[in-house]
Amino acid sequence: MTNSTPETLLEVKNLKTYFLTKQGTVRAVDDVSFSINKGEIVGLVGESGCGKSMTSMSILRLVPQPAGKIVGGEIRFKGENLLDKSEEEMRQIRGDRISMIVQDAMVSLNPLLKVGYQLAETLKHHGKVLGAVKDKCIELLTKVKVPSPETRLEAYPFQFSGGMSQRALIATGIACDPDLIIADEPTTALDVTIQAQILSLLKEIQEKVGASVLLITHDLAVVAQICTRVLVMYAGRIVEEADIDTFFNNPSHPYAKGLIQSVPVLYKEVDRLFTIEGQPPSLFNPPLGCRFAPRCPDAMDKCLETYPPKTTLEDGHYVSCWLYEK
Amino acid sequence: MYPVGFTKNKKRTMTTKQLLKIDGLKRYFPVTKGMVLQKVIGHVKAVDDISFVVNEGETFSLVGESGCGKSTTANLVLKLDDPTAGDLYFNGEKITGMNGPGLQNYRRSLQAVFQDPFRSLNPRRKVKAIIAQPLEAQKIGTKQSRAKKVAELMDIVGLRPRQAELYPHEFSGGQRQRIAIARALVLDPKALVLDEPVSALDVSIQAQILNLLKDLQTMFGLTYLMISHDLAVVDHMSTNIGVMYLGSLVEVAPRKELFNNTKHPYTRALLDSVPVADPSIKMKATVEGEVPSPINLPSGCRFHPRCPLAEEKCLKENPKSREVGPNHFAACHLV
Amino acid sequence: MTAKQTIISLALFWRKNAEAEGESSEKGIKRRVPWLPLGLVMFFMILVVFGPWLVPHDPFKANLRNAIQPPVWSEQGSVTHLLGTDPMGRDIVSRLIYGARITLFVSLVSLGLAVGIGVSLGLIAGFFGGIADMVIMRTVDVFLALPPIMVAILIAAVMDPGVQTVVLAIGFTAWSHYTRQVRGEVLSLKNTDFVRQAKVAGCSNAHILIKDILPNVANTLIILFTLDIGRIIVASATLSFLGLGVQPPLADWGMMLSEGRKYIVYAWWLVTFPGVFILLTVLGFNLCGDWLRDILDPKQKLR
Repeated sequence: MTNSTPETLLEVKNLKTYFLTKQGTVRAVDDVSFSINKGEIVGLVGESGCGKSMTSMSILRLVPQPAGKIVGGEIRFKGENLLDKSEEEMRQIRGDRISMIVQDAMVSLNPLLKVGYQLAETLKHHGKVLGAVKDKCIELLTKVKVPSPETRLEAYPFQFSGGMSQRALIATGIACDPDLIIADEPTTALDVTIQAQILSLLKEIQEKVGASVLLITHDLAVVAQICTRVLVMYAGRIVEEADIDTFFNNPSHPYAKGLIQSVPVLYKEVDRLFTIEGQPPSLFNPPLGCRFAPRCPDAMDKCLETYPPKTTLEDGHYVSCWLYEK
Repeated sequence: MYPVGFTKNKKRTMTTKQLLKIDGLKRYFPVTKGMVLQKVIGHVKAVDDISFVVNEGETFSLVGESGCGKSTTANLVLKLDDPTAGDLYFNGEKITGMNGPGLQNYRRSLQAVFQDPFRSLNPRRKVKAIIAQPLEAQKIGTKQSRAKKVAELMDIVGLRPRQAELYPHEFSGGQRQRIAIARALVLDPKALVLDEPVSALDVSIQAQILNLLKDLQTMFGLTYLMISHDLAVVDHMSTNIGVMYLGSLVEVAPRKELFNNTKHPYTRALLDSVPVADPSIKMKATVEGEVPSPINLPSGCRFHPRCPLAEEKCLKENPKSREVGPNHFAACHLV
Repeated sequence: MTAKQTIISLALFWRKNAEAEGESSEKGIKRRVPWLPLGLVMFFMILVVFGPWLVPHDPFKANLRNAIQPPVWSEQGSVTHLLGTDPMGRDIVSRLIYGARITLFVSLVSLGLAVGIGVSLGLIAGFFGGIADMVIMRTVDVFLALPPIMVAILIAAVMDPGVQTVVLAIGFTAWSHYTRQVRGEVLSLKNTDFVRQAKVAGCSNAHILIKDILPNVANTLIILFTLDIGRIIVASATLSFLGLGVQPPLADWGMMLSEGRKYIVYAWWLVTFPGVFILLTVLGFNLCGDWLRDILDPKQKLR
């Protein structure tokens, strides 16, 4: 990793996003705190329902209404609290300073509009380009390695393949040179060879543009490939935070350990895969103590009663687990 | 989680008997133009002359990316679709063209587990009815004997008896896949077709289901034909692996042989692209471009436009599959 | 309070109720039961079933001495005839009750007929495809183009006007809508994994259609049915209004509207009450249909 004081770009403090439904309150994001520095690629890892997507939605203040609501915490982007901003101000920030790339490009691109038009839309909305919009679009498509960009601008999304449309989506994501790119499962729906291409592209873009990336995924292998730091989420909370090498060499939280061990790894032969017994808890009434305790092979009585505090194992490596209580 | 009386490692001695044989299977879909008078203007060669063999008690995995034809192959093996050409043999008997009682017999021996646990179970039927459905369809047993069989299988896959009265939406993804597995086993089949059995499941649940599948294979001496795009899963489960690309089998080999002695450039590219959960092993995006449209297949070797080693011969002639090692076949001119 | 104020405060009350539910816990679905619409539907069902025992007077007996009596709250009104009488001296309340029986009976039977034909054809067209599909769908196209009233007039020209005319007219025109809807559902269900599974298990086509496909289509059907009843009631009332339905001395609401038309200026009650009853019935069924759609839908979304 590089130099002296890393500049903090995004600081999330005690974020809480709840959904008020007829069946009760779903605590999708329940007291989440982390920060992203300039130039980092941070991986937010967890299984479905752990709250990772909702965290990213909360940062952009795109939580589905009326049921969803950010009920507490702060989201400081370049020092300013995003939760204090008006909708108009947020609209300026979205796409311009913080952009988002989602999983299914087919769904995010309007099927009735030409790709070039949609790309230009982003640029025009943020007043980026006065004259040569088309040239800028071609430049963007070239940056994401779309072959023959001039003709591609005139094409419709359905004429693009999965990988190509994902590239187009990345192009819209970097159009305004954002400071932060949130990529939510950008390669999950793609074939493995295309995934490799897109992940390399993301890394390259990030280096060239200098943006930070928050990569949300359930796939630990993807995280190992391009992230510099990883956050593990479980049942609405972050349970472990570490830089990439530390994490894979020395995962500390039992859930993180279990996750790493239960994934089949190419070339590594095991007879039976390690399994984490049971199911993730309901987010309606999460357990009082550590949320992983009911499934944890190392659980103690204390674990079921009180939620463990965030412990610093070493610089940059944090875990919320009673096993590491100092 | 294991039922009483089940002993792990109950290995039965298997003779290497060919259970499933695919011989020159082809499935072409006509592409038509016009609304009323549908004129055929071309064919999508979804499966184009593939041959392989699955031995009893083993797991054969078909691996490949989208559009390679592995799902179509699964449909052909399950007789949900009929091939344009080629033959399918099961236990020595020719299955292609079979109808009536012969077909019902075949169905009894070969069942399936599909990918999406949320859509492979009828949401309006109770679990016990879902699991018992194949027995009803094949007119086997009485109401009591069926109920008993259902209870037995639910126990084996790790479900509690009182859950028989529930509906699918009351279960999690992993549990639903267990229900699907129970249903697949209710006819005591010899073999199962597993079409992306864990792709739609969460990571920690995948491990549970994969372990279960392995245990069941040992317990019942099952043969598996697995379709998957996930090489790590394929590595964990398979005896033999077949790699498909645009309808052809580009390489077939036993597991270790495929990984240690990779011959076909596409297989190489595939293996290089797989991200590994170890930051010191970086994946390499060695292959450029996208999979071409199956309607306009490249001339000669289908992989040549993207192959880093392509030569002139590759543009002209489609390579035939040749033996390149022990039980190892590859379709490439340069091997 | 003026009518406008009443409506606004009612609306605010309901809205506040709905918001409050967002914060409550397990009471959930039970509280959303629409008691008012259900009550309305129940009320009319009771009229249909127990009508003959509930009528205060004979709805067919003319009594010219009491002709055109206003409702009870007017000056010349009396308690014997709560809602007044018609030009033939027949009690409005009794005629309304009998009208309910006929209107609802006709509507339900004709809708049942339409659904029966429509669903069967839709299942066949969707599941088997090919020529059957083409033939059925072209027929649907033809029938959808037919205006119901014209069909009714044609049928009335062939047969004598009466209950059967209305039933056949509605039955012949409403079925096509169901066929199209069901065919669409069947087409998407046909490719689901559980139907594939059923085939792999060796289930016969009939088995799959009845046990797997039909129950999944039933959901939409129930909703369509309840939402359609309102439309059908209005349709059958319209046909009766035009004189194509029941004939005097029998009367249903549409007929009553027709008869009362001439007297609208000085005997307003002759058209108002049948009109209000039609409104309430249709409203009741529509709101119930809405509620049914809500509870039958999110069952799958709980995951």
